[in-house]
Amino acid sequence: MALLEIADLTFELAGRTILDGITLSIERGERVAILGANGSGKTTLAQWLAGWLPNVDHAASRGKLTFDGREWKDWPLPQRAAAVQLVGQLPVQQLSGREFTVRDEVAFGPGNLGLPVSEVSATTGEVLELCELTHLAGRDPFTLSGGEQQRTVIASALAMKPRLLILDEPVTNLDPSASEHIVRLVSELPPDITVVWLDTSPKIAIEFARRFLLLRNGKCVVDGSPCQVLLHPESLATITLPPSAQAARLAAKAGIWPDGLPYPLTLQEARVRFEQVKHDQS
Amino acid sequence: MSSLLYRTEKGWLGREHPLTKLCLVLWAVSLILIVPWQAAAVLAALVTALGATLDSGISWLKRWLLALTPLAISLFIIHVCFLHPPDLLWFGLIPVSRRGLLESVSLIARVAFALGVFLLFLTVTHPSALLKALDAKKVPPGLSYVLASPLLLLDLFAERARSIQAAQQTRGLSLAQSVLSRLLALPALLVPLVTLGLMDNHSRSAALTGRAFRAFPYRTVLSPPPDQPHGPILRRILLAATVLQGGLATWLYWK
Repeated sequence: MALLEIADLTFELAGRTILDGITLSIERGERVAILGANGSGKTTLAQWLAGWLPNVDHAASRGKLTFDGREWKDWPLPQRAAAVQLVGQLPVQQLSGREFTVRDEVAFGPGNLGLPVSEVSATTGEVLELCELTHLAGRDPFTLSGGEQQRTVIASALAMKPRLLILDEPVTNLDPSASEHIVRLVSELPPDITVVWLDTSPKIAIEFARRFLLLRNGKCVVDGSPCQVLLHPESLATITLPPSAQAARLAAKAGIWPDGLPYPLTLQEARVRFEQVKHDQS
Repeated sequence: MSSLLYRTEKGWLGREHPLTKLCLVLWAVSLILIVPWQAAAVLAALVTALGATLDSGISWLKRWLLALTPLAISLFIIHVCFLHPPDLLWFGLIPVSRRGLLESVSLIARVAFALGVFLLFLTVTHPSALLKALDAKKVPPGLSYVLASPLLLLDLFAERARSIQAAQQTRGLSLAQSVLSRLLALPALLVPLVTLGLMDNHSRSAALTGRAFRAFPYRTVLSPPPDQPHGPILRRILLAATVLQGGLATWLYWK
């Protein structure tokens, strides 16, 4: 059984269809990137994946989502919190607003689960180290930079030891160095954690995701390998390609990229294929 | 700059358990309601002396005076000049009331004491220590959240208010004219501030639920503040005395 299964999920808000018949399944340990333009339904889908939806005010018009075979509404809160964590794009909105140090912020979730002090302390220490936050452990989370705050939020999510980690445009507001830090962190996560990364561009997810999906107007229009999805005509019309693929596309427009040769998506592919093109032309 | 009043205190007040200090505050405030004005004046002088001997005594005194002075002046003017019929002329010019004078001194002494005690508590108790103490005593997490979140979010809110003000001024909103124009400008500043605050609350509430906040009636605390051996008994005595003094104050008021 897949870890997460969505069958024909349709969700409307204020008379507008936000998610339109989404059907997909995610296996344990998968690294999935869901791409889509602004307003394509990524954040709403992330909230469904994380169990923030449905809630008392909002329900699906059709279809359902199950995690480990059960719908989120059947999960008691502590079990759900230990199963899935969502990290959004504005870290300041996700800090608890109750803890005065980074260490206590990270320990907040495990503390809420009522775990023994030794376990909370050990988990907090491990996660602070993993997220390179040990030197900031005594700082007030609200005084950190955006990148440090986002790492604190990710650390707080990891401290819950989730089986599924959802990251919804986590580096949108960060500078390149802070983004790189987050990507390295996500790339090095233990393989048993399933990661779903939602973004407008594949630039970062290409580093670690092995499966891509394209969301357009609330519908999942393409689902497959990075090559299948990113070079699909729907994707070319919707999202920004990685720089290497953009360069190849420009070369194709200029007539110097051979027909049938796939655009390179990573630096390694770019090196090989541009060498090949150079060799063919000489 | 942090809005916290807390300053590191190495003396006995700094070492005392936060809940014991809270009980001391409650006891002291209920005590000031029942003592005669002379005793209130002595207590106010004592709390001032105690505040002045803190490691951050100067800063404590400044804050205490800043908070007390406008209150004291208002109480004095209202009682001496307006609340009671005048029976004395000051400098042959100002009609004042002797009874009002006595009442104002009594009230000012009580307010000075209560204000001093609260300020002492806030200066020597870090909110995080109070929260951990409450959590360790299994006080419902929601209650401690109400105590802590305004302190933590105040700076964030103030910073956002400044950003909105700057943004609106860039768009032509003028705040440098009359009081009326400032009043008219208020909605342009308040509406985005409140809207953003509500959006933040919605997201934060979802994030808190996502991290199992209030899933159980109690939570695990890392490094709770150490309690003194006499702490639990002292707190019980103080709470019992507070109830008695509060009851006495109510009885004296209605008598």
